Amino acid sequence: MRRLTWAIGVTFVFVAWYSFSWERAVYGQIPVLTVAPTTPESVRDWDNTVNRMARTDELRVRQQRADTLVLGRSIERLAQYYRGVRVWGGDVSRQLDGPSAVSVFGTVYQGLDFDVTPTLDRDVATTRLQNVGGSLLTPSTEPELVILPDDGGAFRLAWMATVHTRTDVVRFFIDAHTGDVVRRYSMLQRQSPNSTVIHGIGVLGDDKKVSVTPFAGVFIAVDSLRPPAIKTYDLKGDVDRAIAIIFENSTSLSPADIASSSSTTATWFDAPVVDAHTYAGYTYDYYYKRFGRRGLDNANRSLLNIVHSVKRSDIFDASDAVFSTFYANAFYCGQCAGGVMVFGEGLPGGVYLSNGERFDYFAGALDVVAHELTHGVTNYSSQLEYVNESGALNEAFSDMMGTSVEFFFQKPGNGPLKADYVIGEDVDTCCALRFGAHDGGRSMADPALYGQPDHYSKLVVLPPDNEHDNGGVHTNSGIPNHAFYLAIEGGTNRTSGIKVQGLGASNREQIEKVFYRAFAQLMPSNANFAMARTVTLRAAQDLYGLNSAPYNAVRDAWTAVGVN
Amino acid sequence: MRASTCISLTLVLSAGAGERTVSAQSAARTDRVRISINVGAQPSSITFAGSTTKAVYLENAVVGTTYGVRGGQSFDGGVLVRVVGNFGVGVAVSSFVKRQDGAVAGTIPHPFFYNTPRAIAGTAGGLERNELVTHIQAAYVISSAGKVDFALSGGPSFFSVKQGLVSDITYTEQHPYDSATFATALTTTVGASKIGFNAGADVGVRLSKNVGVGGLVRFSRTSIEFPLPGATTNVKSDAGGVQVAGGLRLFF
Repeated sequence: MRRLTWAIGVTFVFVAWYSFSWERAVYGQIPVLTVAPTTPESVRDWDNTVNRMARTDELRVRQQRADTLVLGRSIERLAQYYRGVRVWGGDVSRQLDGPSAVSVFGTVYQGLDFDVTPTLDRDVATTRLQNVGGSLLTPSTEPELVILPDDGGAFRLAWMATVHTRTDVVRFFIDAHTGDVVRRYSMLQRQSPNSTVIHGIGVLGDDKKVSVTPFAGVFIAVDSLRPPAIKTYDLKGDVDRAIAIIFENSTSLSPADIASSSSTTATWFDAPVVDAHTYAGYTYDYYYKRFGRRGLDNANRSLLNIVHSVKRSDIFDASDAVFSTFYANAFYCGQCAGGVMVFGEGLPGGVYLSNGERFDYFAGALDVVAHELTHGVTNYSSQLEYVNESGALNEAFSDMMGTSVEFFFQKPGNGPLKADYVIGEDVDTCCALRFGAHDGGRSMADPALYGQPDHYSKLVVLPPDNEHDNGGVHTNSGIPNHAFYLAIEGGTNRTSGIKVQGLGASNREQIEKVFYRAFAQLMPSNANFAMARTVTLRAAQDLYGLNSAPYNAVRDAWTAVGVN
Repeated sequence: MRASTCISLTLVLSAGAGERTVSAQSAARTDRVRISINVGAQPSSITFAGSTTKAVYLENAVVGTTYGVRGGQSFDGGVLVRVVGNFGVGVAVSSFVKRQDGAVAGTIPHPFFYNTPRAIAGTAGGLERNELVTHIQAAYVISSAGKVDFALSGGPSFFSVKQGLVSDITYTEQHPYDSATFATALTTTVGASKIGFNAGADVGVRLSKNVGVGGLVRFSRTSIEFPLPGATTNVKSDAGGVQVAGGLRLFF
């Protein structure tokens, strides 16, 4: 009976997850200037504008990185400020070749003219945010005064803070005058030499090499062979401790939490530990080999994985929130415990959702692990706002890279441990009643197969809150996902009927580089799909030239999915 | 035992000939003992190979070395005693020392993936080959023209060979570990003994009653196996070969 209750509840969660089709509210006209110059003259004009705004403190450099794909170039990211207060979403990325600007993309809000003195001071705002968030704010999460472009077409002075709840990390904006919550959404980017190498048995029973560290007679899951420390933590099913570490920030991961082998034998049998640990390493390797990127922050920041946040045997006592967070999910949280990947426990053997769907350990899918780590890359690069179209782009980029990592390390094909364009098929197996019995959660080749739009005309418009998937970020990601697929493999979009001549699987590296460059180097944080088209074309031009085969493939793919 | 190719040039003792030999041919063959001291060359080359394996990253690293022993200088000394008529017995000792490089090539397993070996290549320098061979000879001596005599000899040879072998290598690697670079070879010198054979000819020219000069050509051969630490099989090599030498002859 309890199992049945669970099945019903879980079914509701997932039906809701995939089937939203509400209309989005009309938010009015915000005086926003989209920056996407395409001619050398207009780039130069915008470059001058950016310089002028930087001199007057309207733009502040928030990040500067050397370009790892085009020698001699660098990428600069600037945030917009008004009278010393950050304008939320005002963001510009500028590609520089020495002192000269090659491209400028971004969003700059205009017409700002109001007092930035809040009625609620910081202490009052902190108390208010703690009340609405249900959690104490720490010095590292204290509120920031921002100017929030308002849904009604104006600007609002707001206090913003990221609040860690028991099962979520939520970004709150409260009106700096009234204290009303004006926006909130989840920050969880979800996915439904003293070292040695030992054997490890993965979730799918495959034998793989695991880079570990000998310690006190056993092996611990610390990979010292790669430049960043890759550590995998085993919370041994202690959900309260998991919540305290990940969401409440009331305690920290300790060395004792690092997963350790149960014996001194040279084979590790804890499958989710093995897969989370090795697949995080593979993903790091992919980014390094393909793009020259050194990890999440391009500076070899540690990769921290968490497995066994819950026990499978406790599943029937778990709350809905715990189930959807720690059993049937995987997520990256840049604000949690210094930035962690958390991989869900899946369902116990013999337990299925009512539609027949079943989840295994989420760490068992290479594309899932790479997807989550890519959220970390986004977090340290474009910071694509995890809401609406920019959120869908955030999700899509993770799917693109997750799939690319699969193709980099696995042979193309169907079935376990094969590279394909379906996300999560190795751990999400299905099922007679959902999506025509297809494994996995999304298809880049045929988004409609899993209830996603494959064309911009079918964009699903939802309120941008965490009850509605932050505006359908996991739904609308189907559109850019399909563009990525078409640019590589070619084919005909089912909605538009437009046929794309893809570059072919053997040239997939070129498309991967174009999208990586666009999403991780050039994209501003609040890009929409149209901006993504412009930026990817700029990236293709940078790498391969105007009207080159990759450029044309990317252009035609966006056109086919209705993004112009 | 395999008797194939090596050529060792030794300086044998050939019995001195000269004027006394002319008379001795028919009558008094008064010199019964001849001592020879020669310097020469062992001109032929030997090539052989060996490999070692060891566990690296859960798989076997295989390191193979091709050894080439090129020709070089040799030294030889011996004594021949005429026993009956033209027949005699003798013993000679030859020494051949050569240092040469070995070509190292192998594969190192990848730390992250099975069946993804990384090729590695380099050179192991200063591998010494030291052959010390004792030749037991039965000889037949022919004297002619008074000053010259000629000897044919053959018999077993006792080979004692030391060889520098590559027992392991060091290499460097760094992320992403798709290649490994040879750094150094660790070598060890191992020895082995084996019986082979020799056959040769020696010609001597007497310059005075007891002193002369001469030259020889000898071929000796055996096949030898060196035990190599870390290797599952011994390293097999031929030893000996053609020797060409010349030097001093003393007649008594």
